[in-house]
Amino acid sequence: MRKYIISIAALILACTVSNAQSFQEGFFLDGYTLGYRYNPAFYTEGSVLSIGEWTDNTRNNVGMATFLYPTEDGELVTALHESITPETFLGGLKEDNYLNRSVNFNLFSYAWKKGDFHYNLEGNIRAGYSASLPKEIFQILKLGSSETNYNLSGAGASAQAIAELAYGFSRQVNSWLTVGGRAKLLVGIESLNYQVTRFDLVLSEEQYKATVEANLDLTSVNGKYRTDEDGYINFSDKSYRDKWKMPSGAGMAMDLGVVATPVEGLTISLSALDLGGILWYYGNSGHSSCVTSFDGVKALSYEKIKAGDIAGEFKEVQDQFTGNLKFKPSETKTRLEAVPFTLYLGTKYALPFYRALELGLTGCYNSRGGMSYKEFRAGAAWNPSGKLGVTANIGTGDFGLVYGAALTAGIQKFHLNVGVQNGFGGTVPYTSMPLKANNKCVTLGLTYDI
Amino acid sequence: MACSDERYDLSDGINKDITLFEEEISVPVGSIGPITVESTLLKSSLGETFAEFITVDDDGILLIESDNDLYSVNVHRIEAEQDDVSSAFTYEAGDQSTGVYGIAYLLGMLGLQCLEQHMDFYASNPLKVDVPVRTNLVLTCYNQDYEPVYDSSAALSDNLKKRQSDPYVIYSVDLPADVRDVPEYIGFEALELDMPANPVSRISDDTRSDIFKFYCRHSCKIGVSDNFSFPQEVNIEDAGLEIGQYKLSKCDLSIVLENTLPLSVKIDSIRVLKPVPAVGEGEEEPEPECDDNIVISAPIVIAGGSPENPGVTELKLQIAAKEGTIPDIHGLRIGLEATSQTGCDGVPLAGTQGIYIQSSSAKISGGITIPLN
Repeated sequence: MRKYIISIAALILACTVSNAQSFQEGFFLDGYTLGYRYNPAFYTEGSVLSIGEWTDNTRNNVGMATFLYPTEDGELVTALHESITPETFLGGLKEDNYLNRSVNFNLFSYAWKKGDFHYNLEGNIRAGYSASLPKEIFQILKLGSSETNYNLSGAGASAQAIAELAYGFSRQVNSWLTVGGRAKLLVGIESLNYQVTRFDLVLSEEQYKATVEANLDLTSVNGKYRTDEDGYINFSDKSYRDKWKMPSGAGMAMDLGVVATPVEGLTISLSALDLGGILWYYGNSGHSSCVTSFDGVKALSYEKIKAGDIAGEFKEVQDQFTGNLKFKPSETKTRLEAVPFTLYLGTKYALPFYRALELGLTGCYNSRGGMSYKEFRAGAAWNPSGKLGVTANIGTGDFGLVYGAALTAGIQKFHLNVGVQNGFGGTVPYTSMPLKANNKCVTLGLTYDI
Repeated sequence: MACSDERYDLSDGINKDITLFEEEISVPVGSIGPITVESTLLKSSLGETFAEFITVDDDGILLIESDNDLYSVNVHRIEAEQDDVSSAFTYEAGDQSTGVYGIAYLLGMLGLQCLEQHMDFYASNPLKVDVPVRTNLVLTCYNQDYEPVYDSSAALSDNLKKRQSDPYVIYSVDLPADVRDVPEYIGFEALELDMPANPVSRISDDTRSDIFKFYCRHSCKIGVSDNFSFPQEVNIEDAGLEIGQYKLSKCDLSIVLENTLPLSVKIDSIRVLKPVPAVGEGEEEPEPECDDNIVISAPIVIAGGSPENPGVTELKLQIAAKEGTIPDIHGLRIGLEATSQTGCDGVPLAGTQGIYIQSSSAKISGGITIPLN
């Protein structure tokens, strides 16, 4: 039964287009020349070329400490060990427990000034995946079926990769206000999207009954899957002819921003990123709808009991269930998907008695359906010159306490940008697995002043 | 800060024992069976033993068959016992008898009945000529008090066909329907064979035997008598239910039984046997003791029925440990009493009659531990 439920749970997935978090710490660094990424109103005097900035962002709203527990005798047990109370384990879970990872790799970024306008052009590759499991799954495993009706729908998972070409500008409206915007062309590369639209599970003494409806959208530049003789998508039979090297989706998005400096030393930044969507063309699009019930084995014979073939009977039930989960191809092959947008609000103030020292606040809201989050931070920065700047910040949000630090350092015309943010609570030794809910982001990049 | 916490070091391994469904889980188990007379007697490990005696006819009715030797004599012996074999002569074999024993004989002791008894008498003739034979066939049946309940005699004569070294039926008889006891005396009285001159020289070249052989095949159907009563304490000593590892504390079973056997079964007690400690060679193995920590609810009464009107019983059975968890079950001691349904007298049993678990479910409280280590 455990395997049966875990198999179901492993298929529960949520979908979002990947979007890496911007380098928020850059807001505090005067020498950071790519500020238009988190607010397109920011600009850099002169021309700047950046190659290969890499941002890796991992977010999880539950940590390993919810699933692993050290005991007094030094042993490590799982949350399903009898010594761990249901209150301890289930109390540490969220309604939706998810992991999300997104990577943004900047191919190039070029910024220049022409007349009163500052322009920028950049190309990025975004990739990421996410998966979530509802709390009810763990509740069933830990407690059993004291409740008989479970609704496990609405969860899902996805993995996607898209290419992005962005063109932006900013203009100083007056002495204290600057506005900017960026238009982004999005090109879909790979996408897997599995959505459980309905999953009702009824567990009773007489019968287990699962009503499952799910959609699968799958596309790849490398081809698509054929159907089997019964008309179901056959994941072991791939055709490489029809979609070879063709884009799988296309879309548009825009960033909007405004920066105000109402008094000397005070900067207020407001921006909205990734307002738009992408139209995917799916090489394989399918729908699965089934009602499967299990009311015990059917007429288990005396001979089979004597032969110890009871396990074979249960295998038949499992095969029947998984067989029902097969996908019939859908007529609709395209789907318009909104890009998760992000709102940034920041303010900083350079101290009048020492302008190199800045204090500030930032806030961010990221809309990702069931994985949306918000975060607020307070930071301080020291920018003794345009060649050097360091910042540290601390904050809180849906992933708990978070801290960050960043450095920009210039040597001749080169600028190195390094940033890291992480949560409190520690990690599993020799791994990067966080013990608590966490929002971890690492940024590394190099720019060149032309 | 995000430094590592040594308490979570995975390199030392994780205790993977998990306990699922700590409050309660209900599991539909389903239907099992039927556990029929045929499957338990003929298709079980005992089948080879019983298959020699018990068969199922074309209508699915259980039959007991047994062959009972009456008389056999070698042609050479016949010739050796005669002073003069130069001319035809009559060989006087005298009185020969046998009885029906084996399983059919035991049925009465078990409260079962022999129904629709039929007897075929077989004979073989290894000579190249027909051999006339005469005898007085006597059949006597006795009840359990050894009082005769059936007695018959009939003059039997036949020409034993030549070249029949394989016995063939020379006479058949059906016993009256009300005779439920097997014939304990089957007699060929004053058996005579009219032999040709020099019988040894008449032994057929194409036969594989030089023996005259007489035997009877008794067959009957099995029935349950109205006064059937079978109190018994049954020990199942090789249960082999290794459920201790799952650390179950309580299990409630709900079972709907359908019984087409004309027997109602009352289970007065079910007790778990402790494992028998190993003994040295030559030492007598001690009687297994009951584990009083494990309680299985009883009594249970399973209603009897018939193929047309099955007896349906809803059972609630609880297995619980007074302290700790339920250990491996090596054996069970079941105290039961089977009694017949009224009106079953004279009705033969079919091989397909038995007990069928229409539906069953288990409610397990306190969790199931699965040792994954």
